[in-house]
Amino acid sequence: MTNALQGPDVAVNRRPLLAAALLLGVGMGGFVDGILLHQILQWHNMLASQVPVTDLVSAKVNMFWDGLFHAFTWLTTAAGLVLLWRAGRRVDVPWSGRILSGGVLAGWGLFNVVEGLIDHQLLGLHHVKPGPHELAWDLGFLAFGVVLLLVGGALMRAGREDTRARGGRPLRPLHAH
Amino acid sequence: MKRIAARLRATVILALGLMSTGAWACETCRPRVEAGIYNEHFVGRLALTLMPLLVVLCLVALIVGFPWGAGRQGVPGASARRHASREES
Repeated sequence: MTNALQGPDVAVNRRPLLAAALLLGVGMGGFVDGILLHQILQWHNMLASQVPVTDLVSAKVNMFWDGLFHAFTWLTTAAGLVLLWRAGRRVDVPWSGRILSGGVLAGWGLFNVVEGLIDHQLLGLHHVKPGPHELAWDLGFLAFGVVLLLVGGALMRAGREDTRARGGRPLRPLHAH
Repeated sequence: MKRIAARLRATVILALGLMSTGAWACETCRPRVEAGIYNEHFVGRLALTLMPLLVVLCLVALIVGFPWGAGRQGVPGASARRHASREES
């Protein structure tokens, strides 16, 4: 009798989980950039080319723009968590670790590629590691993003085989009685 | 007694550290910092800072909303199971 609920008419809706995973990946990718490259390694700041860090005042001005960038990556991550929570409550969404991890990696890669192209290449707001080999570092950042996109895409494709809802329950139409 | 003395010493050191001028977030340079942030470039810099994230979010919306054909589909193998269950009944 339960099998009757699992037929071609049962919708497998991966989009809620995919949206959550991508947003989490974008947010966490932004945090990796901000925390690792801006704060720990101190290779660059958000507007380092526009406001070069030469003294305490310019460092604090850059700190403000870094903070604003972090605030929006925090909001993106929080939105991803909300979407993940909602996806977990739905009976038509397969609870796939591969789609989640693949989406997170793809979101991180998407962030690297877009941020790298816009901020580093087009606008020149900052470079990954300013100095004699800055182009190589910028291209490496982009290449890392492409690799993340490819690995994430492969994981998401593999996740298409996962067809159980959260808790191992069978998938059901969203508005089934 | 030694533990109390050690804690007292640590508290005094911490208090002195917090009272030192370096911990007061650069009171003297704050007006210059604010002038460096809130000036005629503020809106432009705000747009530049947020632009990559907004572009990424638009791309995410496009990826999730795009009709890939795999977003909604039947459960693999479910059709055969349903057929078998009908035959049994």
